[in-house]
Amino acid sequence: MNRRDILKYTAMLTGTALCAPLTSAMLSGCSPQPVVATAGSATPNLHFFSQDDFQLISHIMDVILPKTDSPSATDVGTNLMMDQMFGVVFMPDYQAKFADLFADLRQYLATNKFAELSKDQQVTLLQKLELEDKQSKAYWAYMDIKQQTVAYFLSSEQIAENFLNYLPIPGEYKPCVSLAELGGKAWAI
Amino acid sequence: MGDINKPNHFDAIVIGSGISGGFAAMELCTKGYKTLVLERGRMVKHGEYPTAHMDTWDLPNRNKVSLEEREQHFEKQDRLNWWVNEDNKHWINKDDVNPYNEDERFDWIRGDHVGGRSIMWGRQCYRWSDIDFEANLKEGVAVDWPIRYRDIEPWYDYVETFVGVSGQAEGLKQIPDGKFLKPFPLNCAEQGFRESVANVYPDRVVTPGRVAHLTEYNPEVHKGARGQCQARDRCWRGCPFGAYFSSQSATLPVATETGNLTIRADSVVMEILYDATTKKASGVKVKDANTGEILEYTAQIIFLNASSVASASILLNSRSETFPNGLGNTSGEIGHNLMDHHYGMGASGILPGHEDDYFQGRKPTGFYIPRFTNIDEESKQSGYTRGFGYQGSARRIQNNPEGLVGDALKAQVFKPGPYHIGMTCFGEMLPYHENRMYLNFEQQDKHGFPLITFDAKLRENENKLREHGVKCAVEMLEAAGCTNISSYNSATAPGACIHEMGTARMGRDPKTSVLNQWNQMHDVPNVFVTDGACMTSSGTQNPSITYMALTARAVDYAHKQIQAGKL
Repeated sequence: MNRRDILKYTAMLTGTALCAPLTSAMLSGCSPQPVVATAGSATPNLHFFSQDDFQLISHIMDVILPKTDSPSATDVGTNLMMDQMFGVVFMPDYQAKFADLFADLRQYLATNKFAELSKDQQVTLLQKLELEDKQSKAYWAYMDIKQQTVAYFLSSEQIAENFLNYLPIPGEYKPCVSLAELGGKAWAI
Repeated sequence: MGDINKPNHFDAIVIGSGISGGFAAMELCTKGYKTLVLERGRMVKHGEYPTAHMDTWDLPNRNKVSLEEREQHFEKQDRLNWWVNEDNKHWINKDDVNPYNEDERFDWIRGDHVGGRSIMWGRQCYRWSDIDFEANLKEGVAVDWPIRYRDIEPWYDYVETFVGVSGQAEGLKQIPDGKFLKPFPLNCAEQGFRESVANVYPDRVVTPGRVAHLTEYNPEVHKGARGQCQARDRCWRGCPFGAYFSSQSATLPVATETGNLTIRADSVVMEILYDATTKKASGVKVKDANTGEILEYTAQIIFLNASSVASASILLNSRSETFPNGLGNTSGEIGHNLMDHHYGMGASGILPGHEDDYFQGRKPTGFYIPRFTNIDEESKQSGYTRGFGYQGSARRIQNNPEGLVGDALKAQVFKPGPYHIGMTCFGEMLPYHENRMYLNFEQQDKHGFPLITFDAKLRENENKLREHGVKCAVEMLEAAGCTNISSYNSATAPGACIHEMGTARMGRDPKTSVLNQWNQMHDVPNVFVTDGACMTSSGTQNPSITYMALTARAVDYAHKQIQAGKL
């Protein structure tokens, strides 16, 4: 997958590709289905990933967005959403490309003994991949996971309603307001 | 005026209930005509918008339709990959039950239901000017428009007042100012962009999109089921507030109140019937979409508003001894000169700064940059004729800074990211006789209607224009100091802009055009075509407000002719 493809898929997920006024509906982002199984569940019903790959992706997602005073990525089902999107929505060529890239990421993490590292070391390893190993297949797989993690996280109901500014019926449009007055937080939708 | 002894007789029949059909129905009903509106799709009443209040997490697959469903039902409708979504798919025809043929790819994107595409239209409203109306004549392209701006100007005033168009007066000759409600203002980043562009390119004006939304609701003027815009930006799902203009929210309720309106949904018009004795259309033949029953309705006048391609197909299928090639087709032009706007080109970038500048609410539009090339001698281009405009917006994207992982990312991720400016270029398409749709009488759909077949494509002028459109977009982003600028030029097929038009053009000469200056068929004086089929050229402007103005004008003309005993 080349950078253009990544950008295309990322744009589709984050709604940053504004190709017409009608795309505005896409700006409302993405969200998972109600979470019935989490990363902690023994065997969630999966659409696309093997159980092993799903566990690894879940692990990566919670390193990217760990539990703090707000939920972790998988607490709001980003892993299940990504599996569902790959299994139910995405085109076969994208599925195949991602599977190919992800094989390299899995190898990269195994080589670097990701599972055995401390939490801080895991963060450092992913940072190194993002900043220093650009253009490797493992990098592109990781960046895709990271983009999807952030997108599904921010558009989950729990995060949108509790950790972002959520206003389903704004009533009017104000073109310029101070971000500080909005608590420094993004709009959920 | 309706004859109560003939339950199938009306003063007027309107074929189609979309943006122009609804308008025709309202104008006819308010003038006292017992009017039958025939709609091939199902009934949808105002408020019947099942996804209107859903958040994205209430919709499956973060609002994307599953691959299986797309492949089964929306193979052509979803070619753009952003159009068919969980929140609007019930407004979009299923390809497997609504087939058409293509000699050349044509994305015929539509929805059969009462209201038609007035439910999910883009709501952008820009007036045409004489730059558009005179272009064919000046360039020797196709045929001359039989009208000029002065002919349509009062009708723009009339329909804009009723529709409610928000916008900002700019005094531009290429898109004349209208009767505007207050605009959805540019946000801080867009305002900065406007100023940066104006500094470097004074002829390029970044103005708030002009849209059919009630920013200043006035129940005395905005009749029907209208209301104040709530800035939700969920318009294409159908608006329970009636804040944007649609047949459901505006024209059909007003028509209903007169007591003169009859709407018959699930009614597929197979042909318009011609009476060689009176040399007029006598009525229409309809097939009930559910029962298959064939019905005939008669009327004094007929307004054909089924949308450009469907209207042409009905005319082509209305064959008689007098008109063996289709009703009113002595010119042979019906189905030809098929146009759309074309896009799939533009640019985007990150606008630095404005860190503390945010907005509140979700306006249902962004900015518009009207055409600025080939509008006068100074802006004349050597490589192509006509021009292009842009729609775009600046919004803050998700905050996912490079290299941040874990707690460091968590500390940033709830903040808005930088402003991203995206702009899409929309180009004019010339009217080529070779670009056409026609009927394949060897194949029929489930109603027994011959299959519509498309044979149209972009040509040299369009492709040259596209290159310049992309170049100018990048120039403007550079002028604003954007970073990470990327551009694209991936031509869309005709139809993809959902502005198809031209298949029964207006003109001065019955030998080369189908309609006269009043949208009246040269050959059949009691049939009026006032949807996109009537267009003699495509302009760069989003066309719906022009269809509405021409419709109101044509009804007024027909009424005066009838009153004078001439029709």
